[in-house]
Amino acid sequence: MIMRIILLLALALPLSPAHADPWKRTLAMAENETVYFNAWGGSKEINDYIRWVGREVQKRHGIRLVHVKVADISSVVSRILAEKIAQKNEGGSVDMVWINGENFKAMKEANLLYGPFTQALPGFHRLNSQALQMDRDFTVPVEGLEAPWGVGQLNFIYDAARTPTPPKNAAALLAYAQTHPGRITYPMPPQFYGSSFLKQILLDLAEERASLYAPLQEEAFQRVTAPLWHWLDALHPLTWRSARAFPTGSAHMIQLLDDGQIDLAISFNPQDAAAKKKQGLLPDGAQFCTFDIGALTNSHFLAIPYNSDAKAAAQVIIDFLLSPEAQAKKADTNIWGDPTVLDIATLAPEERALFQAFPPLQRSVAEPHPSWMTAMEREWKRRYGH
Amino acid sequence: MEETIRPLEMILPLFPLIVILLCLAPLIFAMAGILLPALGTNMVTGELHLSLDAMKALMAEPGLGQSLRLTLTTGSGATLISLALALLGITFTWGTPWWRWIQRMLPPLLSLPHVAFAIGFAFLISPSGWLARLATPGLTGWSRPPDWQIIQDPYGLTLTLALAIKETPFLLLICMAALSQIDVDRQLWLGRSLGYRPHQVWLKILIPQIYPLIRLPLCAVMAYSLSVVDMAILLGPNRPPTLSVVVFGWFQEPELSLIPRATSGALLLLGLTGIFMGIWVLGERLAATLVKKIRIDGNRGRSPRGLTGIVRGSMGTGFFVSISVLSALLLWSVTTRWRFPDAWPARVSLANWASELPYAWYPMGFSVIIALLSSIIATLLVIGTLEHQNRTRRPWPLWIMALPILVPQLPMLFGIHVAALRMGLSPTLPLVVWGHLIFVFPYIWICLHGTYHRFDARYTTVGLTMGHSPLTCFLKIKLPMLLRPILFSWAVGFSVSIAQFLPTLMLGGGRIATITTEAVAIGSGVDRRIAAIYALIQLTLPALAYAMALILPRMKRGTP
Repeated sequence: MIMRIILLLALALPLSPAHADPWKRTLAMAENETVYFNAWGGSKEINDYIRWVGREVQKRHGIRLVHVKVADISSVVSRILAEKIAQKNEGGSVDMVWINGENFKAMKEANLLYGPFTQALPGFHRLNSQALQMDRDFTVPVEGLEAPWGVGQLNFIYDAARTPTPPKNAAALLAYAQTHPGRITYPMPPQFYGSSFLKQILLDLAEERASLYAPLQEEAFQRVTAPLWHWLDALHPLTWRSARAFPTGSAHMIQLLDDGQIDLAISFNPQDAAAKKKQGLLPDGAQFCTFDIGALTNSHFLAIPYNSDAKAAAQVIIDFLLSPEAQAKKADTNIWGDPTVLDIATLAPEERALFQAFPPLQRSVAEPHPSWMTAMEREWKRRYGH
Repeated sequence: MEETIRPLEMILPLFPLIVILLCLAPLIFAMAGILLPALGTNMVTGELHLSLDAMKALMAEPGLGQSLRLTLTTGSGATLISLALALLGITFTWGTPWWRWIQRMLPPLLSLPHVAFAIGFAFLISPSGWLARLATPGLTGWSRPPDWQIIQDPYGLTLTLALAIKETPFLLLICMAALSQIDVDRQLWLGRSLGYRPHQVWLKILIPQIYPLIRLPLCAVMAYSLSVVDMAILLGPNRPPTLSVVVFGWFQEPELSLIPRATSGALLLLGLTGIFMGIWVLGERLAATLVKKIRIDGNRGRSPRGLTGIVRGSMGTGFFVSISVLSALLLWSVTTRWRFPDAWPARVSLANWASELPYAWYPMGFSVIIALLSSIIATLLVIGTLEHQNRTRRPWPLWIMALPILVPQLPMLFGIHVAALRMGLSPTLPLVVWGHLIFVFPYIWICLHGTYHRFDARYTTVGLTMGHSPLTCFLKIKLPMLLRPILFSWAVGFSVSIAQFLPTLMLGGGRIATITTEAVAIGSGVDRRIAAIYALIQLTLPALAYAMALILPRMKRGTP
């Protein structure tokens, strides 16, 4: 027995230290690198959080983090694509992107991503891959090309003072609209929140939910989605502005809810209601609810473009963002309020304590295959878009 | 004598060369960025397979016809209303305290970013907006705002009105520059001594003189109104939206296979603008014959008391709206809580400013550097090229110069960006300045072109006959006399540069943050408080430029 241990130790010896621990090498390479992190800049809270991350990685790893604030991440995709077309295969302008869904799919298909890299991150094992489907991004296989950062869960924010019993399924929502005409609405697809709303309703109404998780079958489309169009036909005359106008997105809906124009606002962050209340954007009675079948749930990710010059530093930052400390700070409603992607049960007790104050994830229902969403957006446009 | 002629003769031909190299050559790449995908180029491999698939996909779009119709009605409505407001406004307020007041209010109104204006305007008139809050519950008795469709109305009326109000100050500024080239008071005096009412003198004599000078800026207003995206998203109809919003949405989609449809849409928008301008030119001819008849009909006109009232009323309303929008933004920037139906914010603090301002200085510095460089270079290039054209009498086709204004920026920049990268240019400050120059140059050209060509060459001739060199005559006579229009055009160019978002982001690789890239990215959250702060920060720089352009000429003696 002792002999065997010695033998094993002897085998391990020549591999250390540089060979045994490639992560140490990554850390060494990362020092003094500058990472241009292209991320949506539309939220003051998120921007402040990224500023904090910048200070921390500077202190701990000597990395400079620059937040390039963008209004829409698709402009970053087209910038990287332009670089690829011009054969600028190194020294690209983007080192790290905040991404998911269609934009990830587009980057993956155009081979604009570096990786797979996530398995090599020391923090990877902490991820809650059981409860959250993290190997797929809107059913597109992730294949190690992006690391999960946070979770989105579709929920409805309401003012309890005005709406004591909010609707928790599609039928109840329609009934609510009948008794409160003009107070229900949703953003117009293909706006992200609008399309997500359609998916949530369809998942509630569809009789064959399983087929939504496979690529779209054209002949099945009308049959599977028929209940949704019936439902929308009934809802539209009862909606805000009689469905002749739609809000531009979640922030707009929250404003309309606060103004008293509508009764339900759609959000993808279950802690939004609490966070927005603190920021003075919602009344004191603001609360949230999810559908009984479960909240439409997806993750948002971090990825590294193929032509970045600071891949090591980007990985170090991503690993830091997955640390219990950074994730707990992100989940704090005073700071951002984005649910963690970590499996709390695997953490050390003192790390677990960081998350005690935050509510657990809501019951969830996964995103359908993106081909369904594209087809639904097209059909919506054909039926109601003009 | 010969010695002194030379420098001007030698330097002048250089200007058009630089312009071709810096401002016009990139347009080839820009147009390639639009045409190649529309014709069927694979976006990833770059292979070209000629096909009409993109056009077919475009035509199959449901509601396209309605979108086209909406674009035409809102675009033409906004152009006509703002032109009418500007011309009537000058006619009925010239020489009165109203006119001085208008002049003073111009800089902040011109500098107010379009998006900020749209957010403020929506807040003003929506059923839960400021006007409703002031009247509730006292006058309305509402406990909750009614479900009235005031903004985003299906006919685009709100959008038309907002565009018209936002564009009128720009046309007023251009008219002021044009009027500085005409001896208005003496012509008015002469007309009145023959018994004509002032408004008849304006109609018969003065407006026909300034119209050719403001014609091109008017085209810019037209092109802007037809292709506006940000204001149309906030205030325009949804089902369907205007064409520009539809096309913009297509460009936002990351699906690479959909880019051809988007660029075909951009071409359609370009074609629509071209057709509309053609119709406008026909309208101009018609109006010209009409005015010719009116000019010699001998009608002295009656007292236009009713009309004066209406014009002053609508000018007053326009200014009231603009000032209310400004005040609403100011209030929101210090608000922590302001709910319907409170007429005023419930809680007020400077916390919003304190948390954002420290991060604003750095991008503001970049904005000033880029805007100063690009606008000054562009102004020099425009003056040099116009002077050269004046001498050679070979003017360039205007549509080429105006192309960057007429075509959606995203595909153009895509082409320019690829070309720049191929040439080995990496994102740096000079590259961004150059990118701004491409878009600033046409605005300055358009604003200055008419006035510059209408300059009475006899002034210079007099100088030459007195034995001064052409260079001296140019510097001592022509430039000072054109100072006002030149400064106005420069200020327009400066504010155009400040407002550039996509060129800064694309060519700067996201590494050069200006106040506008920050404002657009941060403002994409529609939080009225943050949007208000950035709008006000964004407003200060161009407002200073406009104020300078208005004040400097007055301090100089000898300019009209």
